Amino acid sequence: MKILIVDDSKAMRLIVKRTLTSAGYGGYTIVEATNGREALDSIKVSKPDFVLSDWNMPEMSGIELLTALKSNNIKVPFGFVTSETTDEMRERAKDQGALFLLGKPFTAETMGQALKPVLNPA
Amino acid sequence: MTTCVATDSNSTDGDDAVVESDGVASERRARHPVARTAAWAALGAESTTPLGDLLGAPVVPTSITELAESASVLCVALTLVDAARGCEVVASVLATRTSTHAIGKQMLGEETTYEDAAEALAEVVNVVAGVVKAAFVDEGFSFTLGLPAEISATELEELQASAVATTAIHVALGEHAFALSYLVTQSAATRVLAEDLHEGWVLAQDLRVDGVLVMAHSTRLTEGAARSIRETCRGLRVLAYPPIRAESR
Repeated sequence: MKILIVDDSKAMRLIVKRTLTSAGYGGYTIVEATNGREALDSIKVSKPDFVLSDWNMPEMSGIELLTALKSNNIKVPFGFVTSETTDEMRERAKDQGALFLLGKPFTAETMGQALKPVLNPA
Repeated sequence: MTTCVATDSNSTDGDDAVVESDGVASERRARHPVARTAAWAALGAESTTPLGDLLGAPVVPTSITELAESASVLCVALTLVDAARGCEVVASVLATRTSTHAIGKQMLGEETTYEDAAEALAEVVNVVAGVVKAAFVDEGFSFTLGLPAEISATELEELQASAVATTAIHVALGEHAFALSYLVTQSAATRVLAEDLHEGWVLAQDLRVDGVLVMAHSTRLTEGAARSIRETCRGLRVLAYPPIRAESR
């Protein structure tokens, strides 16, 4: 079972990993990508069970990644972790098929609440 | 150099610590739609709670002279653009090497390299920018965020000097101080050939080819999107905001 973390910040990827463990998801294998382009390539190969992605990244953004997944007919559960949490962005994310948009800063509790309906702790 | 944020270093509480840079800026501030808002006045104070949540420890307003005494500071800045209203805000975080290490250690839970700690500081400015974006939604603004980029203290001083309005706050994580600075800059949208667009530009108008919408205004171009425009819109002059200098390096 794999979770792909997509963020251009190494620091934030580390924080997300640590928070996933605290939220009860420490049993998942973590795969990492630094932007949407790298994530798209990784998803085709590693076939993760869930993608947790930042929105604003260089080369290919999170929303561009989600759009690319749709146009490539790749179905993978997808959630955003981002510092931008306006209603407009939630709507855009939902329209493209994202399951949630979790705002930074987050806690193990809020991460767990977002993931629990779509991914079993392990 | 000394501190390069316009802050009343004698202020000791949140409200007093948020100040305008000088009389001239105050006069400009009164005229600018961004700086006239309640959201602008509250930015410094509004940022401390989410930063405390991010760092897992209280972040409180302070009057600390550490920045003023330090010759070695790191500044990370991020540009927010409201293309529809022609407004640009630069949010920045300024910290000494010691404070940067302290922030990195607090955020990442371990001793960090300076590079990792600097990345942690970039996340700080990311969260601060998120606060700015959210705070201005109710004021009718819709900001598009750039990416955090390291700039020199001199570059920050230049931005401050040309800013329409400035507000700043010194905050502390334990004994370590850092400064949050917010600048409203002059609107800088410019017409540029499609083939000259790169990562970080923000479209100031809808981009259409033969009447068909290619990309909506306010879109921040990733390199992939810019490449696509360069290929499909060659020769077209596009109204867009350039990226902050450091982001375009």
